[in-house]
Amino acid sequence: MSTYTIKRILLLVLQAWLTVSALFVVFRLAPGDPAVLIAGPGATQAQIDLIRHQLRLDRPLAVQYIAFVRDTLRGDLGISLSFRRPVLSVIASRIPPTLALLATSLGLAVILGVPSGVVAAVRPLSLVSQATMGLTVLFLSVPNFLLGLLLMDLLAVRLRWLPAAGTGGPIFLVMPTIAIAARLLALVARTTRASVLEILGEDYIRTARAKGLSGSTILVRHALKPAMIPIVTMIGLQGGYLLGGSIVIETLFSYQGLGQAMINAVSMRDYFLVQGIALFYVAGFLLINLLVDLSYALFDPRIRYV
Amino acid sequence: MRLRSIATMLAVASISLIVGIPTGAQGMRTLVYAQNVPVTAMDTAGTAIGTVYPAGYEAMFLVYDGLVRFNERMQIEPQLATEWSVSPDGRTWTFKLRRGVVFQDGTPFNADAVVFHIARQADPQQNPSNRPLWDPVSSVRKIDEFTVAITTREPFGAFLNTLAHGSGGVVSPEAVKKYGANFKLNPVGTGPYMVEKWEVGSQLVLKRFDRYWGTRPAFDRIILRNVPDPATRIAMLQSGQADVINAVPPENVAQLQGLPNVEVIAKPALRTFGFAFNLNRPFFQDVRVRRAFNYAINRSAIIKVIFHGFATSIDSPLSPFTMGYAPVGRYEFDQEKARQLLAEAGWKPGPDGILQKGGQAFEITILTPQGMMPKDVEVTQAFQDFLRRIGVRARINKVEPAVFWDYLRVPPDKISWDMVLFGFNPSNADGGYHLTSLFESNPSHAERPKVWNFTWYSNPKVDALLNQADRTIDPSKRKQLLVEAARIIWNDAPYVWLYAENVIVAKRKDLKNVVVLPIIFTILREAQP
Repeated sequence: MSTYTIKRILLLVLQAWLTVSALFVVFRLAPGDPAVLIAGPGATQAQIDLIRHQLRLDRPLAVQYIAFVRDTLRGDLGISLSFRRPVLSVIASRIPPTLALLATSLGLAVILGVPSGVVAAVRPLSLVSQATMGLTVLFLSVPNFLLGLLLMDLLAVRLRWLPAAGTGGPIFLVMPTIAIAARLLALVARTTRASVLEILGEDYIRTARAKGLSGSTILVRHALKPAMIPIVTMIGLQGGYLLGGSIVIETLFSYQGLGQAMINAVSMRDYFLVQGIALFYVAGFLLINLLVDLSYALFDPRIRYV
Repeated sequence: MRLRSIATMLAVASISLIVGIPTGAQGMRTLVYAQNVPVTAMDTAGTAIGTVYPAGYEAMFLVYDGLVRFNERMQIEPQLATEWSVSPDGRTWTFKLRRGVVFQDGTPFNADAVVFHIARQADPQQNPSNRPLWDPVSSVRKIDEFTVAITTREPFGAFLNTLAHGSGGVVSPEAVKKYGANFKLNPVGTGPYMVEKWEVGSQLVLKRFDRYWGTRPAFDRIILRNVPDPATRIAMLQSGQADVINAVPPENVAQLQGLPNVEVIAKPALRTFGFAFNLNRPFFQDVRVRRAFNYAINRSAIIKVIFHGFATSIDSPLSPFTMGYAPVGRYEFDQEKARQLLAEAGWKPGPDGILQKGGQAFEITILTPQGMMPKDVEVTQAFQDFLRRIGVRARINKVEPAVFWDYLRVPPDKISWDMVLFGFNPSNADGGYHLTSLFESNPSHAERPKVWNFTWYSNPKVDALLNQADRTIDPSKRKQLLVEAARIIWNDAPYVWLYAENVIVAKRKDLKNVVVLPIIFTILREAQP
């Protein structure tokens, strides 16, 4: 493992500690007393005080903070108020569907976005290129939930090809994937196009051509690899968008992932469940950033961080 | 070669999935109900924090039976009890139990099971929720194998309502002992459907209970699925992926009614809304001012424009389906009358059109939660405009739902609002419970309101009537008392009375016997394809 990787992982630990602390502060500052919520509308002050005591909300903030960090490290995220079970057991089953959805969306965006960007860069004037680039503008400007609703109306209600909503086999992934991936796909295609165009104008490409290499070899071996850095950066920056999109789209398609659990938890005022899911989302965001940073070195061996 | 076979497998899998969606497995009759909130826990005892509403109770009404039940018009009917009687002092209820009933785990249903259930519900340790419904119970005993006697501390007029409430579902004593704290995830009752598979928070799959005591249930399976987005629920109904959906937004009803194979069921719910006055404010202590506000608002316009017709203008603090309801009055929209009443109370228009009295302008603050009650902000804005037209300047204070209660549950000198939008749903369908919660005098001005009387309304006559109604068993005498109390409250006008929200459910047209109760529950136990 390189020094860079180690440093980067140490940084992750620092980031994780900061976010856990930030979550603690945000949830303590948020309006509404969890003890009152748990006790319910008919509760007496004594009942509320008892719950506050059980939840340790009557202790000094510093004590609460240390307990919170300790519990989080042990994987104890508290008890979900509405499900009356540990938060972790409520959300455990929600993680794989969300990961599957994010993976298919990212996959779709890259598999379709990169080639269409390359084509658009190599043959900028062809009809296909112009049509693709036109489409990307559309994808960039339509909000994901609207696209989702339009897809649902067309593919589920009118044509009845796909189920309108739910979780299950791969078929349930189709519409949510398209809805989330559309924007990212457009961004990947446009970034690829710009990046490849720029590199094709570099001196070393002319050299490669002068050596007599074929057009496709130049493209794949000399142009595409350096062109990946801005693309990967862009995907990393959009990681947050992907996670956010999953919340909206999972709710829309009633897809039983973490995002839908989040919305449910908020609407049910399930304090600890919201806190637990937020933690997972933040962790996801940090991991994506880590992977992006680490992948730079992969695409450009010159990149060495000191 | 390998790729192709994988592709073929995928294709076959997808096709079988597509084919499998509308009907489930071959020959199985499956009913799919898309609910706006998830079923979270299914124990009739336990801490409900208002979140399992309505999904949890809807599931429990499929799995459990009560001693008695509500019918579609919120009247009490026998269920596991076949008949009952009350002792002359009104405190002891004797129930004859249905014979030949078994729980879904094979445990026989008898007096021991009922004694276990009632004792469990009445014990605040085992059942911290729904306390106003269960606190009046003092003891329960077995008389013979199929007879039980339940005694209340005082005569309790709404006792049958408690038994018909969702928390009245009788649990299998053996299952409670077996599962302990996990009974909420392994519910066992005597109802027509039992839990087959439960992905908690996502969907609950129920299957027919073959030894159910009543008519054989028509479906092999009922699936309750959580679909939070209303547009998605509608798409599922339209595409045949769901047979019944709840919580249809009023603005979508017309669209659904236009579809040939869809039927919409809409009826007044028990939750009634109003703008509550802070009666501690000097300018609201004059009843003429409060009545003027009631005349100033055009309810039918609000219902027509904001609710697309799907709300019901009220003529009592109680909703039409609440027990003890009778119409007690109307405040017809009449701005002239409103101005006149205000003028009689000494409020005269100032140079800017705003009413004044003793140099003070009529300016108030209206509190509303944002996105907690149906169309809360829209209705408040409409009200603000109606008030402006009679010369009252209102400022709206919108607050997050999570903190809304904190504004209401405070001692009178800490109240920061002049009026507040509020709706109350009597979960046991009893008018006595509704009126007592909102209008019974609070014990102390130094503390926060005992229940929901945050207007600090106090009328000894009303207190006496409500107290008497609470102790009256005879339904018709009890109703008389409640109607009288409602009439006094209505005329005292501690609220600007508004409407009862409507419960709106849509279903496949050919699906029969779907019962929608005004307590917002959709009952599927008798549904037939």
